[in-house]
Amino acid sequence: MEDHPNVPSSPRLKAMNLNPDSQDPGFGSPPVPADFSIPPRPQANPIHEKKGHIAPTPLEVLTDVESRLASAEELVARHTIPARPAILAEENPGLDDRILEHLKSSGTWPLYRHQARSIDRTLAGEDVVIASSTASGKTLCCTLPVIDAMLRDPGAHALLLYPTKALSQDQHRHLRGLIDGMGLDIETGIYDGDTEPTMRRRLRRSGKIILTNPDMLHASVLPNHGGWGAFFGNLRYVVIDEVHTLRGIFGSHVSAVLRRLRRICQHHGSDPLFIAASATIRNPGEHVERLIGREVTVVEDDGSPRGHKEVVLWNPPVVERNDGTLTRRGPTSVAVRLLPELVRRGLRTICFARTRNSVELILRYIRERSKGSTDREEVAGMIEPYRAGYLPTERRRIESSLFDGRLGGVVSTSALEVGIDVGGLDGCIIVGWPGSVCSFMQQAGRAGRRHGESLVFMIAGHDPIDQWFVRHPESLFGSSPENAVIETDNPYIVARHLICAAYELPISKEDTELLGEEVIAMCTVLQEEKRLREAGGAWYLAREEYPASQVKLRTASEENFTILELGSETIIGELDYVAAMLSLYEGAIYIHRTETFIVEEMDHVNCLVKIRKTKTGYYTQVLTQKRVTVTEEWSTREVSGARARLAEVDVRTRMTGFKKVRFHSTENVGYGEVNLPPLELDTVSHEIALDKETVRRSENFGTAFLRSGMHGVARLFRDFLAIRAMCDPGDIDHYVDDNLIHIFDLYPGGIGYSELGYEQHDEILKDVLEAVEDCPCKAGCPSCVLPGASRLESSLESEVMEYPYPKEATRWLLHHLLGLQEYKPNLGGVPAPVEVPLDLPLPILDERVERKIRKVARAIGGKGR
Amino acid sequence: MKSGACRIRRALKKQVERTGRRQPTPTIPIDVEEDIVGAVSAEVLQATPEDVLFLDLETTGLRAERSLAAMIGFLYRRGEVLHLSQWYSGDAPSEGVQLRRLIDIQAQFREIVTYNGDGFDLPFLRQRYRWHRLPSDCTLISNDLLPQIRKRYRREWPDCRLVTAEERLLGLPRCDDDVPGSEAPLRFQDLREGAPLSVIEPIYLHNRRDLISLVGLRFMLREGMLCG
Ligand SMILES: [Zn+2]
Repeated sequence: MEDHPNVPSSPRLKAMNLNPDSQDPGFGSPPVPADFSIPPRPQANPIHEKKGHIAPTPLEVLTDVESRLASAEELVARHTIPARPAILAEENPGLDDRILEHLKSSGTWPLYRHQARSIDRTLAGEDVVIASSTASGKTLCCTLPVIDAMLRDPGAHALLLYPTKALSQDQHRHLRGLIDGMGLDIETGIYDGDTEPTMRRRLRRSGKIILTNPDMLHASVLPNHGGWGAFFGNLRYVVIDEVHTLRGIFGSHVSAVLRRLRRICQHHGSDPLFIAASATIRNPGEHVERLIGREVTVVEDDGSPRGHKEVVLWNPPVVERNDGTLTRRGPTSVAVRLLPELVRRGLRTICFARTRNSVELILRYIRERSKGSTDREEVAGMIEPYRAGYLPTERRRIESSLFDGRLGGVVSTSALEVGIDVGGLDGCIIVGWPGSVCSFMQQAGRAGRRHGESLVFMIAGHDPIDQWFVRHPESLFGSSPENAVIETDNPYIVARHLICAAYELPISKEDTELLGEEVIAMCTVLQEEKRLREAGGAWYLAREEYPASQVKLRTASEENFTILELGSETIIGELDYVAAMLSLYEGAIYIHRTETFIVEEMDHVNCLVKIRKTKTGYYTQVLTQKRVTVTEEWSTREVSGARARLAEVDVRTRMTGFKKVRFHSTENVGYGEVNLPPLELDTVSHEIALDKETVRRSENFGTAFLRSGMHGVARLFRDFLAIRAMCDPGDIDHYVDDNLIHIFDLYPGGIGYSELGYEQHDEILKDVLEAVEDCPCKAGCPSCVLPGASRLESSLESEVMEYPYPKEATRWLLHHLLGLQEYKPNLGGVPAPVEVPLDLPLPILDERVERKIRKVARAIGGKGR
Repeated sequence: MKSGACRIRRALKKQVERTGRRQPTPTIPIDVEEDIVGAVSAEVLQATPEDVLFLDLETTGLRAERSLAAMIGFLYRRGEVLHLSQWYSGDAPSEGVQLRRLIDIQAQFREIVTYNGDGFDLPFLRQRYRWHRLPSDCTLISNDLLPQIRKRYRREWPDCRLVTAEERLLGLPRCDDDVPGSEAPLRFQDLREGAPLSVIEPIYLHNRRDLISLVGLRFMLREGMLCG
């Protein structure tokens, strides 16, 4: 049902009648540096898109693009995912005849094997998670049992949860199509922040199937369950779509919300079954069991058919810098040439970038490069950005334009990765490792149709993880190595939801079954802190409040800043508190839709940021200082060369100023002052305290040697912990002071990542050593020990930044920490580059913005070798 | 080392240190217990069995799922006097306490007399009991006077409100200082937001009069003195 008739070449593109014989092929215009080698155009270009010519197939485009845009060393791997026929169900589930009739008449018959099995288990009364690929028909597994229940019992109700509003819109269309197609009269509707009050009242009163998101369930539906009596009293099914995205901080919150949901259902006399749909991950069953707190049946054997897909791993070329050192060109430099080229050839393409800023920058560079050529400008005009920061109406317009072919390409952050149905696109460009195999597959799955070909380009970045996957492409295509991780014991999360639960119904001893054995002990603490009050053996809120409004599921902070453009006086977006503090300050440059704005005023009282459009040649980056204080040690043990410690810590980040960095060259062009209170984070840290012997031995090589090594180890430890903890490296932070390396979770209370680091200390260090030794560089580079473009550190002392042999220092320290024979560092030869590499800027702080907004912790699996 | 409760305590302490503790809403226990002498005639008093409970709620709103039974007023005969109880709840926890006490009181009676209790007071109470996760089944025989009055006087009177019945049947005009019951929610709200206790005094009086009227009306209906 996700399949849509594909538009091989949009009508507008054809009407444009681009002239392929013009001298300029559409790339190689001035902004591309001369040292980016462009192979000569083939003598006869087979791809002519004149009126009347047949549009080229994706594979034809690929052959041409490869030969013209890339050198052989850049194309490190090409993998074919062959077309696969459907595996159909042998026996069909016992659905109501009217449903079966409809499926037959609408051509959705017979069901695939995995669909039939999933529906069968659901009808047998089991909680089910169905884990299969994008576009494998998971939706039917969820909706058919729901409709079946309505046909058997007109009083039945169902709740459908989607991680985003956009996805509920899309799924509601599908659901309505199904219900109307069967000629049934079932009242359905989306209940979210955009729903009008009259519609809300109607849905509360008579809605049978409600589509919403976990945030709305938490903040609006559950606290007012009294007004939803009929709904909760007869709730038969709870459907959770894209359940693998409910991980990390968001997933941990949602697990608490679902426990509240089950408690409310119990109160109203229902006990709904859960149907969850997941992308292919390694632990769908375990994940959903932790999420809902009950055992589930897992259905995995994907029986859906798929078309031919070519996946190309593209490693941008190594180029020589002015100072003679080598560096790898950034992935965006490839994307800004590749995307317009694919669009020009009529391939509807989605390009995923990791950060909001890189989306804006890719667009900006494409526009810049198209200047002076009408054709190229027209192509550039068919490419638009799409990101989470946009207002809903803006997003919907872009979605529908892409859907109907008015747009040829979009550049997106991962907002479009999950579910949103833009039909089978022809091409997908992934700029930089998207954080996990799961994300990679989801993004790659946006391109592809059941029949015919599609192309996926994965362009590697500098980061060690990107480079690791380039060296191990086999790990992308085997069985999924990834686990979704949630923490159900984070006290910040549990305490907040306990207060929300007390608002919904007083908490009593009967709640231990759903809310945990410790619930009464926790209530007692909350009472001491004057948040709850005990009366007659039950716990109530101690004061009049609406606690759910203060608890946000996706962000660590609870307030948002609104961004107001002066001059036009329009609101152009929102940022959460922490992200705003780190990226918006007076004098900061804010990039929105390829335009630059300067922050004129931060109104902390009203949480308003006032910005004004301005033309600048630079962007800004905040400089910070950290202080880490241990508040309580949980566990400690000797490891070789150091003492490892797992502890609760307070991290205080002070913003000392900001620097201005020139676009393109990343040259530092000035500083500014920031006057803000420090940010405080209370979290869990894995601490590596170097022992005296290690420190003493390092003294032979000078103090900067050890500190440089510690930074190298810390940086890489974080990256490889992220692979094992299956999260975004940006969810973990690191800091070095004195003889201590701190690796800590970037969430209040911790999400369990540093605990994993503490447990797997040695294994992770082995990964790190391998990465350092595998890296082809000599003295150190951003693909191993140096801060990379996406992990710029603002607080590095210059002695460390300028230390010429970071790779040797890191290797030496790793040998100590792994108890290996002492490594003899080679402190001579060509020094490591001092500056950050050539790249379009991808400031780390904006990644935090992204992360805080989306809170979808990314996952990368085991080593898969 | 990693007890959830222990971690919550530390986490909360930190939060409190940062944000400053907010004061919880004060709750004022203002319960009335009073033996009333001479409010009804000896004949009426004698005709009122001791196992009959007269009940009238004053609530903070009409929808039980988001309102409190802010005042539970009830009356019963104890020997030669009528005993009046008016229990106030300023918030959910105290309401929970009062509802628990009411369970014990109810156990001593056989019949419950209300005015529109079947339509409002009893379902409201039931819902509040359910919200507090307390047993909500009331075993008393409900004697709702409103339907009986309505049946006889619907055509004759402009309306069948309790005030009207009092005036026409008991000859009790309301005093000038009486407030309509519909004002109760606002006055309770004012009190919770810091207004002096005097704002709810009229509600106490209103509730008291209603309950006494119920005794008289029940008597007249039983004795068949209301020949129309
Ligand atoms: Zn390197």
